[in-house]
Amino acid sequence: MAHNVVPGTLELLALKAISLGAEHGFGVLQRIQMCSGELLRVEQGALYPALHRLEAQGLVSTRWGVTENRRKAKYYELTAAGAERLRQEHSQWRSLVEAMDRVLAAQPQQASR
Amino acid sequence: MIRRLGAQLRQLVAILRDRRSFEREIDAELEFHLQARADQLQSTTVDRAEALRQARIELGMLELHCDQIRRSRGLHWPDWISADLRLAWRSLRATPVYTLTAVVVLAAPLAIGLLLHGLYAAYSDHSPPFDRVERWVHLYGDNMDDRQRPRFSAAQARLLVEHPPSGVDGLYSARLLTLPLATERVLRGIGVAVSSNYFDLTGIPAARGRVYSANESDRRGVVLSQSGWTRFFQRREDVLGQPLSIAGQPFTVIGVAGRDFRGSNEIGAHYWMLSADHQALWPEDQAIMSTTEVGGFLASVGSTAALTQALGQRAEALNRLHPDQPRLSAIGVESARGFLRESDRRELRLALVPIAALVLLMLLIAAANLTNLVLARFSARRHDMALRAALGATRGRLFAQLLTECALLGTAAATFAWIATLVLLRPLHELIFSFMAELGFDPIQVHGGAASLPLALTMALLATVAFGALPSWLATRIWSRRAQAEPQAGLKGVPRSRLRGALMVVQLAASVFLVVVAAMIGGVASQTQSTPLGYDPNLLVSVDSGTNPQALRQALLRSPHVREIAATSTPPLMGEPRRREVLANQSSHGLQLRHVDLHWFATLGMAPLRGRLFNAADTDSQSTVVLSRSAAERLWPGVDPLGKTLELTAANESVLPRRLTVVGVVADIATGFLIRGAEQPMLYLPARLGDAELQTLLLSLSDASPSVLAELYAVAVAVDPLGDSRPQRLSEALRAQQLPLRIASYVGASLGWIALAISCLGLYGLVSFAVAQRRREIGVRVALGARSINVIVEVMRAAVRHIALGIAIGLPAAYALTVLISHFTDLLQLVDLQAFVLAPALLGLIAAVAAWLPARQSARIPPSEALRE
Repeated sequence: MAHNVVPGTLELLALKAISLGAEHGFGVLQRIQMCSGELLRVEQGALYPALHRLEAQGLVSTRWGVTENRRKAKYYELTAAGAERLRQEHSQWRSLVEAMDRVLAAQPQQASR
Repeated sequence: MIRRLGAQLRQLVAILRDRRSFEREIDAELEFHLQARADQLQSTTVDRAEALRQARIELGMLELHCDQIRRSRGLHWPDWISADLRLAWRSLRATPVYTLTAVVVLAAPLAIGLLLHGLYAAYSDHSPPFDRVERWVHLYGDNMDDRQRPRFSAAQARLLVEHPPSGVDGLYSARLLTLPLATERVLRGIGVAVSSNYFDLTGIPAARGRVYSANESDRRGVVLSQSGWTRFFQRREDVLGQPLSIAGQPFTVIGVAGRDFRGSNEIGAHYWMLSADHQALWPEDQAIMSTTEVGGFLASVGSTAALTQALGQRAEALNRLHPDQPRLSAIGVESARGFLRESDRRELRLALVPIAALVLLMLLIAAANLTNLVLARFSARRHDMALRAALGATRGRLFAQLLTECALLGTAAATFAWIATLVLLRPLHELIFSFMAELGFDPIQVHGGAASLPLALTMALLATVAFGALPSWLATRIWSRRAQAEPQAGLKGVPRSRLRGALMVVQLAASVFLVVVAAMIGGVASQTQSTPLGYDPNLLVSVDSGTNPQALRQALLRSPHVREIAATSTPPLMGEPRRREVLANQSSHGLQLRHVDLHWFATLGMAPLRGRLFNAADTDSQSTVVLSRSAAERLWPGVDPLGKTLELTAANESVLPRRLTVVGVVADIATGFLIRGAEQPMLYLPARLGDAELQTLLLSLSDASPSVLAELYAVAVAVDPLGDSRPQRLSEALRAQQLPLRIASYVGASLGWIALAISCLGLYGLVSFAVAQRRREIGVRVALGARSINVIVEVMRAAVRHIALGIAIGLPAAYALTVLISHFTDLLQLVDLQAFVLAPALLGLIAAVAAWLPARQSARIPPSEALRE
């Protein structure tokens, strides 16, 4: 069963997908879904504003290229600032997940003072 | 953070510059997405069209995504502003009468404010075309009593110029001179005696010939300004090397200054001479204090503070030059700007405060008026706004939309006001200073007013907020508060007649104030116009008696155009005669005093009303006096004064009081400030030409044409080359007295009439709106048999209440102003019937007519139509 992306994490996911190699918007969408084992479902319309936000912040750069099907597409590439942001956000995400796991795995004796 | 914001802003600007290609890219990117997804779907379904349909459904609303992309790039703000502007433009275009009214109402006070600022800036901010003008400084002396002396003696200035302190690139000296200058004819010339480094330091080049350098060959050489070249040589091509005589001394023209340079004073210079020449020709003038200004240019690393410190020890050296004069405690330095010294600038600002206050009052009236108009307009659009809110517009967006409309009005008004300033500033300046030009003084040239555009826009922005924010807030508050609970409330609206009424009262009160003030100024101005002088000022001319008055009188009498010459103390109409305490009839009186010679009364064509005039024996005895009629009535009311004695109190302790016998009474004449009226009691004391008291000659002429005056000027200069003995018609002096008041009355009347017009327009609009609001109610009244007159009275009642309240508030405020002014001067008698009764009555009448016009329409509303609406 596919899940919607956790609110606020779409830009992190897009950054990661782009870090794997320059890709157009549709390709980024495919990468996220494929890497999640088709468990994550990305709202197609929400992806493009997120990509433009990343571009506006200078985290990705863009260029127009031609796909294998000979169609013109806009390709996104990670910038140095984008790589640094990805590293920071990834690290924050790990801490968050770890904290969540700890809370969810907590036993009754851990809750007593 | 700031760098990132800057980068984003640059991106935004780049996108806005090529918006079309950005939009095309979004479309192309989303189209590629659709096609790529359709390719993917086509591998499972056969039909391409079906695959595309499916892809579109998955992607969702394309326009919504485009909008979110634009928002992610910060484009929603420019889009909103642009949409609001388009909406506001359409809305204003649909109601041209309202738009024109609002723009005119706001543009009028803005234009007056900008014109005033333009005049101030022309003198205060626009500097001469010096090189390094940003480093230009003036030196001043500090007295022991902490009073600034902006000028030095010529000797002190020379010492400073010859030994400049560290921290400056050099110091120059400049001394303003008003001397007769003769070429083929004699004219008054405004000159400046400058140090030889003046042009080197200021960087002013020569347009023709050369300007001064340290070269000795420049002695007795004169550099002309462009206006001097025109005035004295009619712009002759062969001006270089031409001789001219300044105060009887021979000089030669060596050059004409470039860059249209007219000196650094508010009065334009006709020529420059070397201060060394001035010193050689008039050595006794070098010790006169406060004649010569010293300026300079800071070194590239210098500062005024460092220069002040460097000058610290110089005061003592300057004091040693004039041991008998008040001592300087220090020498100060101030940054120089414009054509005014800092002290003059402060005085000018102080003088402009009352006018600025009146302009602000005008702006208040305009803002109140527009608030009223906008309130009515927004109330009428509540259906439209309810619809927008129902479609999802937030209160902020609605507020912004309404305020944008007001901002558009404000900007249009500011643009009109600015254009008016560009067109009118120069003619207005010339009108104000035309009289100075006639007297031989060239005021500075005023150009445009282009620099006032930022000020115009700032004023427009402030005015927009002042008149637009309140109605916009109120209009959106109505909807937002009730929309959630009861949507139909937005369609009902809430009458805001009380607020509109209060705004109307405010502007009427302010208008009453302005109209009364204008009437008071007009009253004083008309007093100076209508005061009977008692003589004909057109054929009377005053000349400074100079150093050899007897010789001057004899020389002038040789002219066939001179009928009679008298001598007196102060020139008539050019100042107030001295006042002295007089003891008579066992009481003390303050009366004006004028010393005159034997020819005074004949020259003015005055005969005695009682007794006789002065004779030679009176001049010798110094014990007689002639009274003006009002003086006689003041000292001995109802009694014949002839033979009576009075005691003139001593002017100072070293002089004994004098007992004088009245030998005659003459008619009252006006020779002082006409603002006080003609009936100033006057004592005439006999004196002889050559006495220190008699400093002015008064000539009665048979012909006072300019050619005769030029001829007399040449005669006077021949006798006394150094004196500023330009003959001046008393009619010119009269104009000089009347002009400021006439200009003040024009300005006051303009402000008053504009305020009145704005208020009446507002009242008209308010009553029209009230009638429109009450159409149904009035229709019912008429249907039930109400008479027309009753309907009109009912509608007029509120308007009359507003007018009465406005007058009741405005009149005491105007009276308070007169009380305030009377604390500062006893020159003005401001409280008069015309100002305090007729002006408000006229205003009330006009305002009532403005209200009556729409009220009359109310009685013509057909009940059948009104009830159907």
